[in-house]
Amino acid sequence: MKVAIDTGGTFTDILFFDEEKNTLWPLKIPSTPAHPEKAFLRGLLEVTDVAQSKPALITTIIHGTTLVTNALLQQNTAKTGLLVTAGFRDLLEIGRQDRPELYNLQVEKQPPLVPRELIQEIPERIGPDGQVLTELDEPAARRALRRLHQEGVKTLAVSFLFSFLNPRHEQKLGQLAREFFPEEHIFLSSQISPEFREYERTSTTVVAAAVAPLVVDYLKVLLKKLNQIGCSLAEIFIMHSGGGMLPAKEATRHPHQLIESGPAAGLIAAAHWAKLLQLPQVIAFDMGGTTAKAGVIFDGKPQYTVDYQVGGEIHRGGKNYGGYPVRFPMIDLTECGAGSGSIAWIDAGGHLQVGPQSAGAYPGPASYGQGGEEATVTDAYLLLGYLQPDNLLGGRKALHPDLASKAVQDKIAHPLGLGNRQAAQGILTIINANMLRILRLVSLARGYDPRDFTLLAYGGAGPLHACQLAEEMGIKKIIIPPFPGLFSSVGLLLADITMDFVKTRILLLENENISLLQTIFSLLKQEAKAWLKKTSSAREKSALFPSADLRYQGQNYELNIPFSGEKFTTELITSLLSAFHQLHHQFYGHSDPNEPVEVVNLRLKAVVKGPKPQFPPLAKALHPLSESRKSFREIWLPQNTKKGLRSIKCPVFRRDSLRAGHKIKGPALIQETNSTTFVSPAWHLLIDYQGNLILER
Amino acid sequence: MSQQFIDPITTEVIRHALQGIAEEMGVSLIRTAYSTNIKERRDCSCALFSAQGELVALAEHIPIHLGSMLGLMKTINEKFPLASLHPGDIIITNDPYRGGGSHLPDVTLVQPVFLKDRLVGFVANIAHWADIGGAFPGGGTGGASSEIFQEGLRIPPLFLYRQGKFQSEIAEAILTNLRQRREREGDLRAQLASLHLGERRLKELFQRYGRKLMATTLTSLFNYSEKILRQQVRSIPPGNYQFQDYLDDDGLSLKPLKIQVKIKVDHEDQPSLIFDFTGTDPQAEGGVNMVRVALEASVYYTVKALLAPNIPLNAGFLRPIKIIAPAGTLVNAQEPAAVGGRTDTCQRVVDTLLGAFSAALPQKVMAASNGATTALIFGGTRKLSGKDFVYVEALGGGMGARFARDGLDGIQVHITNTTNLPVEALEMEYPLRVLRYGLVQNSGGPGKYRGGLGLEKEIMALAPVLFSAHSDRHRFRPWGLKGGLPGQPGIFLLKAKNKEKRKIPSKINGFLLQPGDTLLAQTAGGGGYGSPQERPPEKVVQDYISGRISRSHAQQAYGVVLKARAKKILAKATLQLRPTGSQPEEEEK
Repeated sequence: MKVAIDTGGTFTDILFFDEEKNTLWPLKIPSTPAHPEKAFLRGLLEVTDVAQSKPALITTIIHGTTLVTNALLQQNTAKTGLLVTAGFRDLLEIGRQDRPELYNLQVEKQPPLVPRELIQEIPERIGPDGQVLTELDEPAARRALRRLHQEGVKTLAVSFLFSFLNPRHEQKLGQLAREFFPEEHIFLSSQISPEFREYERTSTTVVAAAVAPLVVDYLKVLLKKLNQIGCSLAEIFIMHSGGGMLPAKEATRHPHQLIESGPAAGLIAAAHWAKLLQLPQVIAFDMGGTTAKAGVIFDGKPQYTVDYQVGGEIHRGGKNYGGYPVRFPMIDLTECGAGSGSIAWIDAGGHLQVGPQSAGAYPGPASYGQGGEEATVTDAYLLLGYLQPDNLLGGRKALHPDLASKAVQDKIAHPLGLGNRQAAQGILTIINANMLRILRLVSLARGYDPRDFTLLAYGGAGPLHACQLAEEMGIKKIIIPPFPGLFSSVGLLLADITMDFVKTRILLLENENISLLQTIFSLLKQEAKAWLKKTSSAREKSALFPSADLRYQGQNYELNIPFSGEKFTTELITSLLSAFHQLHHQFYGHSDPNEPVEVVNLRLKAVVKGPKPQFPPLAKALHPLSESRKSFREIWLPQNTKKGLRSIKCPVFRRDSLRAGHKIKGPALIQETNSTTFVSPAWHLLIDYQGNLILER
Repeated sequence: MSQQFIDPITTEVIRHALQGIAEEMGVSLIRTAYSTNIKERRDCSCALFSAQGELVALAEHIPIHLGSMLGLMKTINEKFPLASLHPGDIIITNDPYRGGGSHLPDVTLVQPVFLKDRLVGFVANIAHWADIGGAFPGGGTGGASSEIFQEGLRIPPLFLYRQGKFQSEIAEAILTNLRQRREREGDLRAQLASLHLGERRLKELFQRYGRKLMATTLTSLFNYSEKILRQQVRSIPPGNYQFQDYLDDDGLSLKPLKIQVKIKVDHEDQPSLIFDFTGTDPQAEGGVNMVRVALEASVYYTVKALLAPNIPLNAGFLRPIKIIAPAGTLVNAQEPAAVGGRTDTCQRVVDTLLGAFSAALPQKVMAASNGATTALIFGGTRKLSGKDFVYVEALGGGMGARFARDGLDGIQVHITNTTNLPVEALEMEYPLRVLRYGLVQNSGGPGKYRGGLGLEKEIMALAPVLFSAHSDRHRFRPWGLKGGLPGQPGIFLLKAKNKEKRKIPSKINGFLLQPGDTLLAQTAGGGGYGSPQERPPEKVVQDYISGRISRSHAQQAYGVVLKARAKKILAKATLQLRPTGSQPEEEEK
């Protein structure tokens, strides 16, 4: 028995998978943010009960958690100390020396995770070719450690200049530090992020150190409680943002990797679906209560980025800006503050805006009747007829159309001089425009033509917006998978165990450097193989995926090029070069095969492949869809040509009444427990044998 | 303003799309450029204009580029009648006197965008190239030239492409004059690719919505920005507000240079702002001069930051603002004045404007900041240093304190926001070693709210290299407000091998550093806000604990006496020093 548990800000999603019966049981319950393990355990027990199983029979638990993201957003981290090369105490304070907003005289920066007084300078210096310029001053190091210990520091980061080339001084410091700190609370930059650019490397290491005690304690509590409920056989894995999972113990050594752990799982599920349905190019689109996320999938593989900031609140160009940089190959997701709970408002110039503020689960949208007075996206759905007032969370939550109407009237329609439904349609138009921006950023801005893509839409609200977004992007095909509201949990069941290794060495990619490249590559492989040996048992399949970060000599941003092969040869160099020129042309519209190309990093992803669940097929339709299975609801649609809305009688189907082979012509609404799909008038819907809704136009 | 009805929702959708295009152009440019200035420090901007040349959307990474964008379109409108422009044309320029630029290294490209042979708008980008020729590597940025001719190659507006055809003679004439030709070609390629992307997107947008709807929407966007700005101006008490400040010198003589402004806040008819710089000193011999577009950028920056940070910067935003600047003055210099160090003057203009507004908007302004755009330029040639290179770094400094906040430490303020180059990138690429990079203790101006700390960077030459620089506030300290004291000035100290440390000027061109010589550059701290006597003693203690101030500074500047060794306040002694200010609560044990 396998259980996937995805803790989110509002809801905790649980999927129980019985491998023998090949059956899935889904459950969605409210989260318990102060003590996330409570909802975790309650959900686990409830779903086990429904599945008529016992905790003792569970063999594997895979967990996605917002613990780390929340701790960083709320600055709720442990007292952290930092040791740096003498002369560079202010690396964190200065950062990249820019301010997060250009035109705000009252601007503030996020305070560093380590206050200045807990940063100690240690005399030592390594040069740009890895040679020691100044030996490590051990007595000074010991004094600094003692001082931090006396100050009550709980957890420690060490980051020296050029340690990615020569980690000796950091390693020595790590040994000295064990006198004062538990090993599980000591983090070296040469281990956490052995790449060049000292600020980003230091920041990554500090993030790891600052959240480590929290992660360690959380997992301890979780293991204890699991034992108490008799779930003692289960092996626990934590999802990381690199799209893989790590055994709980390993996760405590790489806690910075747990950021965005749930959303990354969504992309893993999307990638699996792309492979299953043989879709070469997919845009995965996830819309929840607060944020919308998008990412692309090629040939069943998600894309990765190393350029990420966590805990920032400013979104610029689709990137989270003004937070703490964390560098490691994460699944590339672009986010914006657009969800079903997003609040609509009017700015000083009389323009309608939606988000990024969300009404959350409490007080929630006005129509929840929990005291919320703001007009939200959910209220707009209700006014336009997309939502059935008694169908939210399978009827567990009743919606109040009168309250939705009042909020939209007071806050939007009246000030803008529009009708209520016109205002509601305006809210949806604006939020779609916001979400189109992230869809453009992951496709057009990277040189991909969205018309070649299939849109895979999930999250509670994704399926409702899919048709309109696809039309705007020129996309002709949409997939709504089964359990769209719990799709990230499906990803947890599908994740492999993965770990990333990297070595920075800046050299020209040319035949002269073959032996040097080979040496670095061999070292990387040794590290990865040692890890695999430690982590996986012989019966599991493992694999190594090498890649290189390349750039034109003189540029400063790299493109990651995967390759295969055991050895660096002239052929490999030729193929890397041509792949790089091609990708550069695709991304940026120009390339020059005569320009020299540099290697910056060699990377290796180690993967232990677990068994993948086979999802139960959907029963075949024996009869055409019977008329009796549908009901009707009045909905209001925007007119194509002119302003104003038209009302139609829209057929409504229950998703669980649909069978493989059934076909429906839009307009139609497909309702299920945790989501609603809207099929726009120009679209046809086909249900496939895996239970996917396939929309085409 | 027209009263026709415009759908606010479509307007908003189109605004997002326009801004998105400008941002996409910027991402593409940064990611593929070669100059350190562009790729690491993001010294570049992209913009869209209407067919009439009005600014529609701007993705600026540093505000100073706004002026050049506006100047550029003015030039285009004057010099290139509509009939002379064709699809596939691209114009290149960098000249402050003929091309609307603000200094030579900012190379600007602009392309008219046509849909079915009708002009629908322009796309443009500006990028700061690491070298533009001239007397010294990276010299166009140095501060001690006496004529613009010394600062590099001047490119008047020229067709780089005509109807899609690359004008190789023009390109050759430009590239032949620049150092590191290969890198410059890379920069040019990156800028061209960014333009093409912008052109494609803008066309798509016009195809989607049609020319008519787009024109109506643009008008509505301009009106929207104008409306908000006028509303904000109405919130300022009407009247005249004056202020003056001084630049240290022009790099050639030691004579201070006065910047004077009178701001008239007018509520009559339509609320508007008139900035009159009459009384400012004549243009200088050295390179600290601003051309008018640089002044405009500094004024627009200040107005936006102070009054309307979140509204779109476009043609409508500019309508309520009028600028009077007599020709031949420091803030409206005439040919052939040198302009390489103009960013220091821009920063000082912003300080001066904030000083003038402080009487009207005391809660919104900040005290003077580090007041410079300290540029350190290290250049090498193969013969001299074993390698051709130019490395330009702009060092941030202290931000002035605000009404209820300390100034930020070690940060870029106002008209610039370039990032630093990682020490590890610098050392791997150039024959230089960084010995120290950090905040300067005690440099923040004391006040109830403390000015931000200045920055210092100590760099050792490992091979013979040429050093050029411009900076300011080495003499005139950043002033405080409402009883706040000034920040500490900046300084350049040279430590030649086997010699004593010595001070060198703030503006310098082509100074030879020998291997082992070290240069220490410190920037000024920001001015304080409110009397330091009123700073809560706990905050003074916190500054001491974090090492931002020393024990003696706590006592002398804030009147807070700290017990030897322990981080405790000696309350009695403090009481004697601060008879009226904020007092420590707990009695010393």
